[in-house]
Amino acid sequence: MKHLKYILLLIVVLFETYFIGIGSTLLKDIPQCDEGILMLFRYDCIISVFHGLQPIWQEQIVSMLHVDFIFILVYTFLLLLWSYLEMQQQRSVWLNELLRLNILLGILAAVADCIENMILLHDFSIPVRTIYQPDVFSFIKWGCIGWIVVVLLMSRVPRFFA
Amino acid sequence: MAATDDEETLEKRTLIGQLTRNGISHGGLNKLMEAANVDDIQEITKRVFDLNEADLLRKIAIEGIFKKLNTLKNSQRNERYFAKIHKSFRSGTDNKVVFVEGDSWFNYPIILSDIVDWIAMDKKLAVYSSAAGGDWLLNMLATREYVDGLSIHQPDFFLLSGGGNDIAGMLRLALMVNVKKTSRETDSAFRHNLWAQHLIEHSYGTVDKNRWENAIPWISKDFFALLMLFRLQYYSVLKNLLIGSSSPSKFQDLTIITQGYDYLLPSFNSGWGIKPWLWYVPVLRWIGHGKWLKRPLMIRGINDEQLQKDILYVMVFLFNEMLIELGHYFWQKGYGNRVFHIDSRDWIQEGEWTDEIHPKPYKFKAIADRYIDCINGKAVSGHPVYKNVYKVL
Repeated sequence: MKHLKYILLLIVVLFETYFIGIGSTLLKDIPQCDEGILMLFRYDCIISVFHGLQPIWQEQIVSMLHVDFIFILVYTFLLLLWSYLEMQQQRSVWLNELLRLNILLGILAAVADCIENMILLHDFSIPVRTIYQPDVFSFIKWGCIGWIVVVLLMSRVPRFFA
Repeated sequence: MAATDDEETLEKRTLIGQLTRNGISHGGLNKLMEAANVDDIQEITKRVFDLNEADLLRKIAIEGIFKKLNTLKNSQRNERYFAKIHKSFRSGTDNKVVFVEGDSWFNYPIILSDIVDWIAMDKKLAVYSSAAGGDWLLNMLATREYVDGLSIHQPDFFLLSGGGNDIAGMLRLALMVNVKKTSRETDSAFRHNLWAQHLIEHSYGTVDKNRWENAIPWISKDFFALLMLFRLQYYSVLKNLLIGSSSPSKFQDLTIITQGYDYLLPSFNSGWGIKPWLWYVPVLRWIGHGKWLKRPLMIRGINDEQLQKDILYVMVFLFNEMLIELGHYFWQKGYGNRVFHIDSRDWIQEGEWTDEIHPKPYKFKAIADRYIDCINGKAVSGHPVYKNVYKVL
C-alpha cells in the first residue's frame, strides 16, 4: 500500500507535467497569446485560442479532458488514501479530526473538478454556444486540494522529525 | 465412577435448566461455570438463541463489503505491527506486544479512529488485530482465531471486546424486553434471578435508582439468560488462557483486558448539523443507526425516549458489572494481576455519539488512554483504579 501511494503520486506528477507542457506549447505558437503559460490563467483567451486551433489539436485537447476524468479519480483516491493512513497515526485530536475532514474535501474537490471539466467540454464544443465560466468550481477544487495538502503536511512533517 | 459421572451430568443439566428458566443462584452459576465444557455452552447457546450454533453462526457471519473493509483495516494495522517487529521491537524492555480480538469498538473499518487505532499509535506498543466490526462474541469464540493469534504472537496483553452485537444484532434486542411492563416490581425477571441480585448487591458502580426502577420491569428473562451465557463464555476464554484446560497454560505471562461499552443511546436522529468537521456523523448514521436499538424497542411498543435510554442503561450497567465481577473471581483465585476491565460507563454524553452504538473518535481516544495506562500499570490521578478496574473519567 505504501509503494502504491508513491507510484500513484509519480503518475499524477507526470500527467500534470505533460498536460501543462502541451498547453504551453500550443499557446506559445499563437500570436495573441504570446505570454505562453501565463495565458492558461485567462479563460477568455483559452476559449478563443481553442476555437482558433486546427481541428486535429482541438480533438487532442478534448480527448485530454476525457483522460482528465481518470486523472481526477487517481488523485482523489491518492488524497483520500493518504489522509486516511495519516489519520491512523495522528495522535493529536484536532489534527486527526482535520484529516477526517480531508476525506470530505477530497470528494468535494473531485466533484468540483468534474463539473469544471464538463463546463470546459461544453465551452469547447462546436458550434460555439453560451460560454460558462468554470472559475467557481476551479476555486473550490484548488481551495480543497490546497487545504488537504496543508493539513497533510502539518500532520506528516512534525511526525517525520519526531 | 460411572455413577459419579452421571450425577455430575445430572447436576449440570439441572443447573442449565435453572439458568435458562432464570432461576439460578450465584453459587449455582459459579458451579456451572466451573463444570461446563464446550458442549454444555453450545447447549445453553442453543436454548438462549433458539437456534443451533451452526445455523446461528451462518446467520451472523460477516460477509461482503464489511468483511473486506475489516480485513483491509486489519492488514494495514498488522503491517505496522510487523514493521515494528522487524526493528527488533521485542528486544526493548519497555515495549509490549498487544493482541486484540473484538467488535467495532476495536475495528471500525472506515472513517472513525477506534480504540485500537489510538492504542496502536503508542510507540511502545505493537498491536496485532483480528478484530472485526459487526462481530459477535459467539462467533469470536467459535472461530477461535484469537487462539492461533495468541499462540503465534505470544503477546503481553490480550484485549477483548465482545457482546454488543449479540445483544443488538438481528433485532435481538426486542427479545430482551417485555411487551408489557410487569405489574409489580417483585414479578420482574430481575427479582427471579438470584445471580443478578447478587451482582447488584455487590456492584462496583453506583446505580442510578430512578433509571433502574424505571427500566427493570421491562427487562425480560432472555436478557439475563444471555448475560449469564456471556459470563460462561468469558470465563471459558479467560480460564483456558490463564489456567489452561488440561495442561498448564501456554500463556503464563499474558494479561487480559476487557471492556463493557458505555450507556448506548437509542435514536433515529439523522445527525445533520452545521459543523463541517462532523460531516461523517450523518454519513455513518446511514449504516445501521436506529436499527440496532431504537427499532427493536419500538417493535415491543417501547416508544418513550427516556424509558428506551433507561433500558440500555440497565443492560450496559449489568454487562459491565458482570465483567468486573468475573475479574474479581479470578482475583480470588490468585490471578488478580492478570485480568483487568476498562469501565467507560457515563463517559460519553448525548452529543458525543457518532451513532447509536459508537462514540466520536475523541471519546474513543480517552478510552484508549485508559487502556494504555492499564497496560503500563499506571494509576493516573483523577482516574480511579479499583482492584481490576480502570475507570474512564
